[in-house]
Amino acid sequence: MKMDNDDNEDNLKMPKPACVEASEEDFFEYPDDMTVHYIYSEGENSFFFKQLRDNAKLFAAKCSQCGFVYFPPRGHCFKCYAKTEWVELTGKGYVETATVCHFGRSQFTDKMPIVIAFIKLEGADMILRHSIVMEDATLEKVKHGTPVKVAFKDQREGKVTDFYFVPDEDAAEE
Amino acid sequence: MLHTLEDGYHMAKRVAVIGIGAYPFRARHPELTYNGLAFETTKRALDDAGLTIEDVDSAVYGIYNDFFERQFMADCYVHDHIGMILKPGTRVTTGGATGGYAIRTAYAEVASGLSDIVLCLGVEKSGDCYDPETNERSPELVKAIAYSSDLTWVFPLGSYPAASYVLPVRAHIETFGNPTEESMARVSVKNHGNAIGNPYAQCPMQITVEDVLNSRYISEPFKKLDCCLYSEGAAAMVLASEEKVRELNVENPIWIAGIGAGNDSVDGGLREHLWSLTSNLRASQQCYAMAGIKDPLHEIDVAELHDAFSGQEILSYEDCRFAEYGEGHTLIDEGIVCEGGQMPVNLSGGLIGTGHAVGATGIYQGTEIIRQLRGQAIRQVHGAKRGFLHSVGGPLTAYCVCVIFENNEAR
Repeated sequence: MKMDNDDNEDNLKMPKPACVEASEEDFFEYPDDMTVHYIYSEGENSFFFKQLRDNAKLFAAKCSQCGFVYFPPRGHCFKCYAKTEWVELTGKGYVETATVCHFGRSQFTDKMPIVIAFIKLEGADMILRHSIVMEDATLEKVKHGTPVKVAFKDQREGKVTDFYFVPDEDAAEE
Repeated sequence: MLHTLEDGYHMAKRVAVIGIGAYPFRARHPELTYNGLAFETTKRALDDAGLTIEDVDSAVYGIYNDFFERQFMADCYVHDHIGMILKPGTRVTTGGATGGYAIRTAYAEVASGLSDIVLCLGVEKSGDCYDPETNERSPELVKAIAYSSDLTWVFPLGSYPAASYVLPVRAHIETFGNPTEESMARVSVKNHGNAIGNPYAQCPMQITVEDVLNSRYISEPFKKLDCCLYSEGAAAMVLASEEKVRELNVENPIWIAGIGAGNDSVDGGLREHLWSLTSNLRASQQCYAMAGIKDPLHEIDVAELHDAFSGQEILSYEDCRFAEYGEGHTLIDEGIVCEGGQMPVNLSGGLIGTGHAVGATGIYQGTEIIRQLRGQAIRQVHGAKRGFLHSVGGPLTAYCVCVIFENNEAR
């Protein structure tokens, strides 16, 4: 591979970016960060997170007028502008499409590879983006139509990572 | 509803680009703050237009990420540093489509008569992000971007831009059986190669399809060389009304003949299908209707598409109607989008070859089209009259802006 970069600076008679020649003494740097802490309210979706944490159950939001089922849940239907009602999901579904990831922010590097998927859940009218946990993940193992089912962590705190998906071997054999 | 020239756009003033400037896209510019980048680039665009900052009525700033700049509301500091005190200034932030939306906003200010001359300036840092525990920059930079994903539902999963953009491409592969990894690799080879000779480009490289196929997986099937790199850099345009173009006797104004935009559902869950980016179709259709374009492949001479990832460029051929659905890959496989082809795409190098200084990217792509239409491009398309800009971004590529630029020869 040939890197062909800074030689071209002169072609357009453009000033070189100073960084090309500047040594580290020429600019001043220091470590810094931006941090804010929260007690975050999940507002109209509180019921979902309480059920997730306390009972390991997934609830979706069904429009009281048109019956469209939102998951992730929403307090209102944007088509009817009507309120939604809670309905429980079975947690079974199939892979719409998925990718096997080998890169991410530092907090995830020791967890790679991870599978991020679009999952069509039984009873929900939206497709959910979530992770599938499995050994030796390959694209072939998570191809379109692969049955999956929900699994819950033992220690739950009311976060999206309290649950994840695993291949549904029973459904695959049917 | 799609507007056409006939049903109302004649009410708007005609708008032209009369000056451009850019600052090279690099992994880092430690010698300049975002204010410094903004100043250097504003000066270049004003010099190109033969104007001073006194002539500018208002400014639109494309700045994407507050963590990148390590500053919220960075636009108000830029406004001060470039000498726009007491004049109107607005920031636009729409992810990777920030540049495109900044152009749209600047266009609207001139077209509506609010301003006669508007500066449209995109600036982005990013390389200052640093993880002190691992002594690495990229994963921390990716974390800064990940804060744009849904903090409740997506951020905790560990998703990141490549893992988002790859899902529509995967769905396309599972639906149509393409693009293959080889077709995607050809886009990477084309764009890295087009960047050779471009002084603004961060990643000019002479590589082969095998080099791409042998690079490591990032988010399958995307490999390292299928992905653009994040950059620091800036780009600017000066937009003016037709009256000003005449008054200033501008030699080669480049007109904005069409502009369209659309934002899709953010997380894919509500989309009609996953194998297409419907916002891209919507934005390009609206843009073509306004410009009176019926057959984009034959009526457009040169295009800059948002190729954050090679496979995404191929999907864009289809949503921008250069090809039928399922057939986008033929444009790269048959060389139609290569230099010398019917529709050269990303002769600048695109994001893959030039880099991605997010807030500046769409505006930089625009400056490349302007150079083509002025006959000043490095890889000049002979006699180019009409160019197309496609700017995409946001969670799961939700945002899209498309622009048609034309020179005086076009009509």
